[in-house]
Amino acid sequence: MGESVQWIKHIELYVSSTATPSEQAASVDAVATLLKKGFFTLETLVKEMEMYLTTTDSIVRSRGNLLLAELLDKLASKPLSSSSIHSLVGFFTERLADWKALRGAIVGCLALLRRKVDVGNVTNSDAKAVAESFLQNLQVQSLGQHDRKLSFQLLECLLNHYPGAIGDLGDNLVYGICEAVDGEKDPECLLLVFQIVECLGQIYPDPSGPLANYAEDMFEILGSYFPIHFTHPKGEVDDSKREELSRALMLAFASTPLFEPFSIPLLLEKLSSSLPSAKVESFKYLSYCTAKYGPERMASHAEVLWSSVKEATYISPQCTLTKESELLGGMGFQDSEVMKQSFILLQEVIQQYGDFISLVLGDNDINVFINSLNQYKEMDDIPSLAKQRLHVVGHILSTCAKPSPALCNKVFNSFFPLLMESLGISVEKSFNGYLDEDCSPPAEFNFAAIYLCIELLAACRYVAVSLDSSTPALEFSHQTWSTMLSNSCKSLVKTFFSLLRSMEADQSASSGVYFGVKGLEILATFPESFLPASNSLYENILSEFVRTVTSGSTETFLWTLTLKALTEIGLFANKHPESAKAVIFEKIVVEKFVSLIPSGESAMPSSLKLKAAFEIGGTKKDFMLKVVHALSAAIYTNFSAAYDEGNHESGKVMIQLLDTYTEKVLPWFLKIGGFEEIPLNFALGIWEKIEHTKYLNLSVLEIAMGAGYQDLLGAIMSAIKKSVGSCSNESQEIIINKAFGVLSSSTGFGFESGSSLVKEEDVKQNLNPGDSSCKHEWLTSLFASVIIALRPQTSIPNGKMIIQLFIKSLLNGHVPSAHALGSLVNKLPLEIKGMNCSGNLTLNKALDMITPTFTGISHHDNVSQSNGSGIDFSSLRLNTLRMQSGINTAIGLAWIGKGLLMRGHEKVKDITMALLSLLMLDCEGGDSKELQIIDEEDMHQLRKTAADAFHIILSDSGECLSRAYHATIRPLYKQRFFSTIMPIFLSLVIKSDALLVSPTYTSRSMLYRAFAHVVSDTPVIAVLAESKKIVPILLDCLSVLSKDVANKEIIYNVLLVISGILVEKNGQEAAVENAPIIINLLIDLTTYQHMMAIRETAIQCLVAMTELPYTRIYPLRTKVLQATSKALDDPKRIVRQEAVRCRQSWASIASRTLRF
Amino acid sequence: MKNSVDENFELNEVQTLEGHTDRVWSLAWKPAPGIDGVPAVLASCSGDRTVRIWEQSPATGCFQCKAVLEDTHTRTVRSCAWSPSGKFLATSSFDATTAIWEDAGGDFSCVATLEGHENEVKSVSWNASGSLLATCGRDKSVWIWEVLPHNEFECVSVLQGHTQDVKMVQWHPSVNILISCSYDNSIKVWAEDGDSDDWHCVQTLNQSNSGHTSTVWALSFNASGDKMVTCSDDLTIKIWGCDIIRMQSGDGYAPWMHISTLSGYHDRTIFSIHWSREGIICSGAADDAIRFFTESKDDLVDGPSYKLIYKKEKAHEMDINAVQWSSMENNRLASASDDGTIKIWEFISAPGKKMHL
Amino acid sequence: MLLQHIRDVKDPEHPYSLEELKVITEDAIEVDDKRSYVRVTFTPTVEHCSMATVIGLCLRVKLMRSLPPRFKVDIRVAPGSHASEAAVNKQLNDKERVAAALENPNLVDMVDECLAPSYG
Repeated sequence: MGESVQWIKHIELYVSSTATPSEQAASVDAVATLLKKGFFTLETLVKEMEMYLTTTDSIVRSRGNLLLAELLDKLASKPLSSSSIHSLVGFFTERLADWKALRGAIVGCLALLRRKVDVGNVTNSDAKAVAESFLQNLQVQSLGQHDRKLSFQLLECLLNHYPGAIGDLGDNLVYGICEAVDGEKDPECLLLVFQIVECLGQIYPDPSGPLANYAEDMFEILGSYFPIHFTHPKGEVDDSKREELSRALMLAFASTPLFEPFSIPLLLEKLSSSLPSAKVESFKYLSYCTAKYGPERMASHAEVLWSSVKEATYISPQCTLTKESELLGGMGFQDSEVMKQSFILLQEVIQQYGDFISLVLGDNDINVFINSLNQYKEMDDIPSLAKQRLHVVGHILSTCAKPSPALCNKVFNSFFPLLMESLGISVEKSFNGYLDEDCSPPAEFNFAAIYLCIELLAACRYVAVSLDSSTPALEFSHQTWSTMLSNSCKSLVKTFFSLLRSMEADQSASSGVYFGVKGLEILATFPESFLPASNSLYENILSEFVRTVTSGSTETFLWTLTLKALTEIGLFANKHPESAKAVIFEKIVVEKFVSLIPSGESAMPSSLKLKAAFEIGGTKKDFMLKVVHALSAAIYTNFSAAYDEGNHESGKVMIQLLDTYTEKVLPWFLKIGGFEEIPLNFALGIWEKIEHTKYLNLSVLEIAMGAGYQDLLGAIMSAIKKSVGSCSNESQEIIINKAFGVLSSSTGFGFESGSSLVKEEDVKQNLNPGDSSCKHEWLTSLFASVIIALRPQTSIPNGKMIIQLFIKSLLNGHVPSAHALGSLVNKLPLEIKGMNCSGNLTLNKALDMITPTFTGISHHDNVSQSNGSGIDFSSLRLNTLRMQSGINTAIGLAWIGKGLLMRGHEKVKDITMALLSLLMLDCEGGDSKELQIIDEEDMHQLRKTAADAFHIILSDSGECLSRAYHATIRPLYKQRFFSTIMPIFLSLVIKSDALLVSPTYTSRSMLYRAFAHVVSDTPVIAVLAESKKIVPILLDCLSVLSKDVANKEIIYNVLLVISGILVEKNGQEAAVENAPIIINLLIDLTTYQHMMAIRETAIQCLVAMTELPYTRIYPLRTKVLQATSKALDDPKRIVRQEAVRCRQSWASIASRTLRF
Repeated sequence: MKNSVDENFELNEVQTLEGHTDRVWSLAWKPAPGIDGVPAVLASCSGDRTVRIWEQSPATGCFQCKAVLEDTHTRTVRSCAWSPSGKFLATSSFDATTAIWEDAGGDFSCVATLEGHENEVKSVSWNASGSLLATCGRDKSVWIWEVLPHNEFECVSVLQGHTQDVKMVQWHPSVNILISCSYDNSIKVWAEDGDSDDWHCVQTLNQSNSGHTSTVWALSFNASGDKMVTCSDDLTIKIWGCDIIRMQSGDGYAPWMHISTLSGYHDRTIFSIHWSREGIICSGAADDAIRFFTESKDDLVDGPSYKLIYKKEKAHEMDINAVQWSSMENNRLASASDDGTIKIWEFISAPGKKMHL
Repeated sequence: MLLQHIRDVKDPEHPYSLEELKVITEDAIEVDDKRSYVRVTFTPTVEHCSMATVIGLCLRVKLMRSLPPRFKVDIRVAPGSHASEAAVNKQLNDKERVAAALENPNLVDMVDECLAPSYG
């Protein structure tokens, strides 16, 4: 019985007037859970609570009722006996009369009425009782917002769940509801009200039923809310609410045709409102109601509707020419919302009520207008109002024609002949469509007529297509429009052709070209079953288009438009792959363009060829397959031509071919997926070629192509990367094997020797490369591209040899090899599961080979213990012997480090150490004899490379180690690197400050260079965290770097970091301490003449400085104002404007002196 | 042919004095009563609320800033003037006060501040004997102070009459008449009548008697005191003359007559004008230019006429607020500008040619 | 370019930026960059706008802050747009008065208030 005591406590707490809402909620939950668990029954509860439910203390009573009600709400899913439900609902029903304790009663009723059948719900009779009690007792409008809301919820619930039961309350109910809702203002309540009315409409459809009697009163209440409009708007919050309400009201309006006599007049009246929003709303509602009320009711309004539509569109059109109108034959319009809605209404009415069309077609103004069009010979001659009307009329006509063949006939009957006539074409059957025999189309065209005619064509095409899909083999020939069209078809085509041809000369966008192409496109995209656009005609059109495209020499307006049209036609034809049209398309268009890819002939520049081929191919998989085959074939042939015969022309062509392949075709296949063999075969094909190219005439080709030579190599490499990258492990393994085969079969790779470690002789020997090594390098590049794109899972044969190969050629300054090594260390597995792959390489093995070569550290001894600047100098002796190889080492370290860093491998530390000791070389270099023989210039170069290595490490590269090439990327690796390297940098800086003698200047500046790279390549957030520490160095860094013009890019990046720091909270704290230094630096940079962006940013930073504490910056004020006055005369406008802003904010810190 | 320039002269920039952090308003050369070997001293005052004392080093001949008088005036120091003895420097400021500084061998102490003007004091001037001090300002009034022993200064008269703020006051070099010029376009002459020592306006020179048509900014007398020159916002310079003999003889007041108007030389407001002991009128204006004029002996038919003898465009980066001929070196000139600098010039007749006056 | 400097100057009596109030119009600004000369002609919102001088002052300050020192600036109210046109113009172009005005804290506050960038 322990519980009982406990839950009674809860009850007492709840009803006691001291309880806070949260406490109440808590106790409700507590009791509810106990009930759910069945510690005691509802009956016991009610018994226990009896005094609270009936006490004369209205406060306690109301709380008691509410508690019970809320408990019931919580128990919605707990099965209850019908008897207890009956008694409970009975209780609450009568409580509805107790206005002092009303809320509990309503909530209780709601809770019960919402119950589902399976857990026991309220019977119809009880529900009816609730409704009656509600109507009898509640003065809804006299209640507060929350209670009103609850009451409406109750009503809505009754109407939705017990329509049958309360239905027979009839007039009573409707009347009661009218009373309850009248004068409601609260949005949330209104939403319910509108839904309630909607329900009523469904309950009482009967035109002589209860709703009919009160329809007028009810609508009087509803109508007063239209259009929904907030008197005290609070921003977009209630824009959405407004939308919701407006929609609900619309549904209510349309809920029953009984409203029609009142709603339609109201809406029509609101159309004349001056508020566009009201107009829009009215049109929306009208469209919706038209659909709901049905034709017979709407018939009476037909004329008014038409005139209002006409008013909103034709009489006073509200549409503006769009920016690209030029490209749409000068007829691209953006309609106002009002116009959009009125067109929708028009469409609705036409569909609902066929006769309506006679109003439109018979409209005098429109007919007069159309007849007046003959006066305009050029699109540009047409005054803007007429142009707008033309657009409107076109829209109206097509709207009228689209819904059905019958309507289409009507429209054609009344306008088409007229239009054709003004184009000098007859719609009568005749041997040749033109009025006078065998005449060619007129010299000048009536563009307005052409425009309308095209609108009509589009419309009837729409009809044709919809019919075609619906009724099979429909006999179009019965249709008037069809007959007319078939009679005039030929001549139309001629007309359009002549439009194309007459315009071909001029390059610019012109109406003629646009409409010509458009018209033909439409005619070519009629369904097969539609005779007028016969196949012969279709062929003519295609051939004409093909001719136009193939004869193009540049991408003129006409050219692009035509190509676009062709692809549209292709897409349409391919909807029915077996159809004659599809076949014809393939025969005439696809084969033509595919055939163009390899052939050198035809005036068409190959860039256009490829573009066209790709676009057309894009209309169907099989087509694209054709394209890709032709493409690869062409690439192979040119490959031989270029590398065997040293033909530089094919070299150039090849670059374009490769680009199309990598940039367009391959991605296309990847997008649709499931075509792995394509990249696989391509890659293999290339290696085939390499294998069978007898004598690589590299040097010859290089001389012939000049700079193009490297572009070609680059193109091949990225083609290989992209295709390998898009292959699965298996395919990749095939490729790598193939490639390795080719390599090992070719000479000079020393694979056969199988030497384990790089010997100095190798390096020496490779340092003076002969022509053979030229080929060697070329092959290595291509091989590197394969390695770079491999997936981590792909197993690599003869890994050791490969690594040696790359190490060697890297030491000869071959950068792709560095990329490859980077990718390898990034992806190689830590260890290999399974025994039979002893040959396979693991990361550690690889590192064992690599690190000694570059850092003199095998990965077993740990560097982090060795002091300060990282590793002992002697280990670098081997490679720093010759500066060049030293530089190459640095590059290698950069990429290898990047690879390790990205996968989050701790070895990256050794690498960075090595780099640092390279760029600090001469600090402790005094003792080492090697350095004496080194030319200072080379030394500088070496340090620079080492410094820039940090940029490589931290910046994203397109060459390798990207997602596309399956790099292992550990999240936040940049931030991690930053936080590990920063302390090292700081200590080094201090160290180098210590020995501030001139020789160390360069190494110091290099240190800063590296530092700058790191800071500006790390996400600024991470930098901000450290800002206190780094700001001083950053400044020192800036002042050092700004001594050399070559650093301007770096300076700019650092400046950006600084500005980032200045605008951020704890960044500013760091800045305050160094305010004077910062200001001086910035001031210097405001006159940095080598780069405008630097001046601009510096000034912006100065502005940001004004956010710092007044007392700290005020002393610097005059200085800044003086300095920035120079910037007011800056050659660049942006800088001047920034300067003004800056002076403004500094001057107004506290205005005293104005000059300076 | 007014703008013809006599190529016999040349103006050489000797030194630029930097130090003020705002526009320099006014300059005063310390008078050197006949003693040789005394280094030249120049006082300058500025919008930066300080007064700077510049002294020429005998060794190098260069001017160096010897003292900065600050923390006394709380707003712009508009003008400064040395007492004839060179013992005192008077400075008037927008802070409504006039400060008197005593020069004790190079270190200056503020021995008195004259309060009374409602607001900005714009000009201060000592009379020839150093017994009287005049100040004027925004409050349209001119004040005359008597210098008493023990650095006491007593206001002997407050002269009302100008209808707008008074830009400058200047005592006549020999007789006790005071000239003031004003934003109200007029020039007023003030004199003590008879033995009763109260002062009043004895003459007003304005448009009606061929005076200026806009703010009159400054005036200066020639050595003998029989002529004065005024400059104005109306872009003209006017020369006035009077019968100085009669004035000195004391029998009645001799009115000033308009002699000549020089126009078309400056194309922005002329702020400063100074007449050298050798008769060369120097003018500085908002067009950044300095001009030199002298009486031309060519045609004495209808009174003396004046001709431009030299012009220096872009003498400063910005407006020129003051030009002052040195009290010692006849051809030394100082100019002060909005650009915050003071320039020392040497105006000499080109070698081989004789300066005929 | 130049108008942009002035555009944001607010009329002390109105919370909007001047241009909206048509106190400044594009054509009323003459710039001669070669001769480093600028003349601004502005139209006080009302004929007796007591604030005309303050607006003018704001304009002058704004220009002082916005233009290289080499520029000479004249500011005047549009002919016939203000009752005491001549007086206002004379005052606005007396640099001594301007300087004095700008040493007056209250006035300066007002000026800065006017020059504060106007959002909206």
